Amino acid sequence: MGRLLCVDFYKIFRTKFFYVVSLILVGFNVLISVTSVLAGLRNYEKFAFFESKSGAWSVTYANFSNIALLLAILSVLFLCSEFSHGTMKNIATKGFPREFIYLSKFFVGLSCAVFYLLLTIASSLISSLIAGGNRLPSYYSLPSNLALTLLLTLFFLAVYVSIALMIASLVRKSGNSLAIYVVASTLISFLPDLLDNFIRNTLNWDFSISSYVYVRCFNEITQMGIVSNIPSADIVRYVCVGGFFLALTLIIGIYYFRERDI
Amino acid sequence: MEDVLLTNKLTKKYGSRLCVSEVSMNIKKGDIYGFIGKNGAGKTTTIKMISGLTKPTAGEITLFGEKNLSKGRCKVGTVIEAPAFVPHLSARDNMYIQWKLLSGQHENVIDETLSLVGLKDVGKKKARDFSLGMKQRLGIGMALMGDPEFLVLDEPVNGLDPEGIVQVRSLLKDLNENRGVTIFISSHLLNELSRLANRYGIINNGRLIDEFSISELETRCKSHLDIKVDDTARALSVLKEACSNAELKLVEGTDTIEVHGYDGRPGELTKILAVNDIFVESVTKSKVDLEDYFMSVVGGEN
Repeated sequence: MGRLLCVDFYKIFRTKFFYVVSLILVGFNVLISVTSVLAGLRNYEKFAFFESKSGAWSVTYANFSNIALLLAILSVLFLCSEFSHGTMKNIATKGFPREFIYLSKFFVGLSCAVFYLLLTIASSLISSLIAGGNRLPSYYSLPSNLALTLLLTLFFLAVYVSIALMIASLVRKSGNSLAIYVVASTLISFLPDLLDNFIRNTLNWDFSISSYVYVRCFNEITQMGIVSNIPSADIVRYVCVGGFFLALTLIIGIYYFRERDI
Repeated sequence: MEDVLLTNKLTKKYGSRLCVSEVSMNIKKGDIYGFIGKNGAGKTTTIKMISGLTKPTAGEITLFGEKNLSKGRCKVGTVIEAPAFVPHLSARDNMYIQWKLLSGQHENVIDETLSLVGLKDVGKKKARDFSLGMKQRLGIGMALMGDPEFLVLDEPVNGLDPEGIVQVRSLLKDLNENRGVTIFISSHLLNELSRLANRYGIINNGRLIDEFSISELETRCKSHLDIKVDDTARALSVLKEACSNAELKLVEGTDTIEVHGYDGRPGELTKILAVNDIFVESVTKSKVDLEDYFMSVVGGEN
C-alpha cells in the first residue's frame, strides 16, 4: 500500500491537471472573496457583517463549496488517465490487491482535498484582507467552530472523491465519466427537492428527503458553518448521511474495480 | 527443469461466449515460448488471465510452483497489447515509477535498464514523442524493473520496422541467454517468432490445439524434393525402384512429384531419371516453415 501511495502521489504531482485545477480553485476563491468584500465596503450594513468574526469567515466557508466539483474532476481525470495510458495494467499485473490499488487513489484524492481546503482558506483570507485593506481585523482570529467545520467539510469532500472515483472506475473514460458525474450531481441536487414537494403537498407528510442527501448536507455545512454552534442533531445527521454515501460508493467502486477486467 | 508457468484447464467465458477453453500449458525455466494464434483466437485473453488482468471462469494457474499468484506475479514482467507508460513523462521518469512500485534494488538499476534497452541517451524527451520502436523498448524496459524471472509479452514487435524488430529480438535473446529470463511471447509474425522461440503453442478458437518444441517442429516440417518431369507415370515407377525408403506423392493436376524422406543428393535422382530417358524440368528443395505448419494445423482445425 505504501508503494502504491508513493507512486500515486508522484504521478499526481507530475500531471498538469493537478496544477490547472489548483489555479482554477484559487481563481474562483479570489474572485468570490474580493467581490464579496468590495460589495461589503460599499454598503455599511454588509460591511458591519464582514467586520464580525463570523462574517469574515463566511466567505471562506462558502468557498469550500468550490472545492467539491474541482476535486471530483481531478479524481476522475486521475483514475481515467491510468486506464487511458494503460498504466493501470502495470500496477494490476504486479500482484497488488485491487482493493489497495483503488484505496490508494482514494487516499490521494483525500490528500488533495486537504491541500485544497488549506489552499482555499489561504487564498480566501489573503484576497479578502487585501481587498478590505486594514479594516477587517476579525480575519486575524479564528472562529470557534473552525475545526468542526473543517472536519465535516473534509468528510463530505471524501464523499465527493468517492463518488467521482466510483463513476470513473465504472466508465473508465474521462469525458464520459465527467458528463455522468455532472448529470448525476444535477439530478441529486434537485430530485430530492421535487420529492419533498410531493411528500409535503400530496401526501401531507412532514418529512424531507433532501435533508438526507449529501449535496444538501454539504451545502448546509458550507453555508451555515458561520453559526457558532452547529446543533448536535445536525452533526449526527451529517455524519450518518456522509458515512452512508461514502461507504456505499466505496463498496460499489471497489467491487467493480476488483471484478472487472483491466 | 523448474516449471515457471503451469495452467490447468484455464477457461474464460464472457456470457455464453467461450473465449478460452481448457487451456493447459507448461512453460519451463529458460524457455522462450511462442504463443501463436489468429486474431480473436484467445491469445490476449489467456495472457490477461496469466497476468491477473482478467479472472478465469475456471481452471488453475501456477506461477513458479505456487498457487499464491500475488507472490508469483512480483517476478513477472508484462507488456500486454501495447507498451503502457505515462506519455508526458520521460523514459527515466516512467522507469522511476516502475522502480518505486517494485524494486528493492538500488536506483542505479534504472540507468542500467535504460542502457540495456537502448534508451539511455534520450534525455528528457517525453515518451509520447518516441518512435514506435522506442516505445516498445521502453515498455520492455519497464517490464524489466523489479528484476523479473518471467516476461510475458503480447505482440511486442507489432508495428515495428525491420530494424526495430531486430533490436527487440536481440534484446530478448540477450535477456534469455545471459540473464536466464523465461519469455512467453505472442506474435503474428511467425517467421520472426521462429527465430526466437524454442517452444510453441498454437491456440485456435480458444483451444490450445498443439504444443511442440523447436526440434519437434523440425521433425514435423522436414524438407522434401519437388521434381518436375515430362512423364510422371514412368518417373514414379523409376523413383520407386531407386529410392524404396522415400515416400512419393504426385501433386494433382501438375507434372510434379514430391519426394519425402529422401536423404541422398538430389542430383542422384536427376541422374537416374535421365538414364531412364525421362526429361527433368526442375528439382527444388522445399521446406515447410512455422507459418506453413501453423496454416496446415489451423486450416485443418477449421
